[in-house]
Amino acid sequence: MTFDVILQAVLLGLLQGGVYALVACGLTLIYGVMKIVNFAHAEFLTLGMYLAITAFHLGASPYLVALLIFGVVAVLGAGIQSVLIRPALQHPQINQMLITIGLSTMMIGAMQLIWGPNNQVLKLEWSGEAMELGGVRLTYVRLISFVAAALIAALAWWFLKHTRTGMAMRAASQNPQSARLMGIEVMRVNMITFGVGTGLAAMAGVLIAPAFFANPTFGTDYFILPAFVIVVLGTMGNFAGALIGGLIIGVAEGLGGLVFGPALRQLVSLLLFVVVLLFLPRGLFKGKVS
Amino acid sequence: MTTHDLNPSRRQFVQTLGTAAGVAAFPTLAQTADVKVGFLLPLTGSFAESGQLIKQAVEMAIEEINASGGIKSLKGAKLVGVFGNSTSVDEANTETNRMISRDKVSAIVGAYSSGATISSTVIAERNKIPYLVPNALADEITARGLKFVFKTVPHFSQYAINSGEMVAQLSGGQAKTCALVRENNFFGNVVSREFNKHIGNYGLKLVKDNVFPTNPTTFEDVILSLKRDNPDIVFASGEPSSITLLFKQLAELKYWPKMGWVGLGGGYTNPTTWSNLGKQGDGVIVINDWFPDIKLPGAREVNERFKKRSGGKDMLGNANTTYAGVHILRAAIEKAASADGVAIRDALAGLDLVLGPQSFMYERVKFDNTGFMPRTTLVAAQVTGGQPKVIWPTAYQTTKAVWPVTR
Repeated sequence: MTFDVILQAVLLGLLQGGVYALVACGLTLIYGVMKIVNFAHAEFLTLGMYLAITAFHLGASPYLVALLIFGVVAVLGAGIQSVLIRPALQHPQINQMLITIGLSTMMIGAMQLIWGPNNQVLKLEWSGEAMELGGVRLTYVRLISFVAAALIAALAWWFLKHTRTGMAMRAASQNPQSARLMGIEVMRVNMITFGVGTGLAAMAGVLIAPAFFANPTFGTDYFILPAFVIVVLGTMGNFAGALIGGLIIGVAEGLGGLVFGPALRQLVSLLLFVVVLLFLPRGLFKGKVS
Repeated sequence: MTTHDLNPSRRQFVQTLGTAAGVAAFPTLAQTADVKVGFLLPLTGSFAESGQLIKQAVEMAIEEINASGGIKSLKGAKLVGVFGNSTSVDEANTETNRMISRDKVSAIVGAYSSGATISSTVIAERNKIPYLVPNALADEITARGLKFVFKTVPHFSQYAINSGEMVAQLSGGQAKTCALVRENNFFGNVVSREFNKHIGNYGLKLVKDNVFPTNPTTFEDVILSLKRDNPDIVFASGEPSSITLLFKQLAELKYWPKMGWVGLGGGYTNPTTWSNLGKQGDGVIVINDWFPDIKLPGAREVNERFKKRSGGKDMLGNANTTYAGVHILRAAIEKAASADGVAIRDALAGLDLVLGPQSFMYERVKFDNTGFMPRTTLVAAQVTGGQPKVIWPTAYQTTKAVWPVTR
């Protein structure tokens, strides 16, 4: 096995990991603040892809409308939170889980009604163009998705650390009772969190749309399992953990696929997952939620 | 007029009224019952592109049959399709049971994926309902001694044998090594087994069997290992969604085998695959049992009729074979003159058709004692501008092959 091939596998894994990280960030954010496992998270990614493809067919570059799509999906997410999830917040966690599972099924059905069951492709003229470093090829589409994912995650990080709303979100995640006593409107914070979290998933969808294809079950088929593994690996609710976990899982899958073959590519990441659950049951950050 | 006289006429009046109301309410009583046929197809999920295309072909066949007078030996009984989803083995089994017990179908046609077909045929056999397979390729389907199962599509072993013959002829024996790219499911395992068994007979060494999972997130590792093994030819099977991702990434990583890429049936014959891929698909060779431009009577006409309802998509991806299958089943029901499962089964077993609506792809319809309908050879087509053109064997050729296919 040549060095080039290994390097290519590592770099491609890293790029894939960046997108995984962005999907996982939204999931972990929602869990961190609301203690809700959102099983419909991947459907917001698929929705982002479809909106990007629709915008492209209408003549707009998917990258230019990415912010708009983020906004639209964030508003939709916030709406869904206040109608479907808020009434169940005081009830046992199993109720909330079942609601998000139901939401996932409803969203898949709705997307099939609107866009049909067939695969849709976003054919950018330059999607095959790539940067060549020695024997390693990295396509611009993948590089853009990685860089953008990193920037968005950094921006979200800054938002959480330095804005009033961000601080309120962190306060609500650490101790909702005290936060409420301090005058923070926890219900409003929850709604914003769900909106931002689902918006991040849609953004990831926009970024990967030119490199993949979309069908109604795309998110569930391809992204939900790695996203959950990453969230648990990086400690549930820990934002930085999701970023680092995403990169680790991306590289582990890339190398795993090369060594054990594609059918067993997830073996390495799932083994890593089992080891973490056995020896670090609260994730790499030992339960610390930031 | 006495009351006594009035009574009978009033009774008569009520009787007449009752009969009229009855006839109006149950018009079917006056006609023969419909013949229900179950169609098991993957209508959602990752095989949905194929399933939906096939459904359109089934509806076209049923409309044609009913418009031409239905089943004449059953006083013009109409054929009615009952559709069920066969996305997974479990689902196919549940739907088969439902079709038999609740919908009371006389026959079943399906189920696209070999895994789902293997299991659901057993249920039909137990219930003595004939099961026609015009779209799943595994050899095992008719190799288990089942009496109610009939398969009109070639066995997969024939794909392996004809692929070897074609490559040996096109390359003049120059192709020495090959690699496989196939899914990790029942059908993929059949592909692997048959290639391992047969491909060596044509001077080809199988250097690597690349297996990818159902719903793969990436093909980068497959492509990197192909780069490393550097085979002359790649033989591949898959579904439209995975093929779309694979070819995008082949372009991204700039890999192409030394002599050519050969797709084996299934998703490689699906027109959606080629419209999704555009230029990226040019030069790929696809091996299958039929193509619209094949030199057989009525092939082009049937395809044009189908394109009118499919939005311009060719009658490929097993839409062709399933369409022909419905017509073959109609011939059997006609011959049986009964909607009973056993009678239709016996009619299918004894069928020998030469001319008919199925002639656009089958020169003769006759099942052997395992329920399989043998064919002499498959055909290969090369994709040019999104259209497959028949290149092999020379008897059916409409365009000369471009060989080797380099990029």
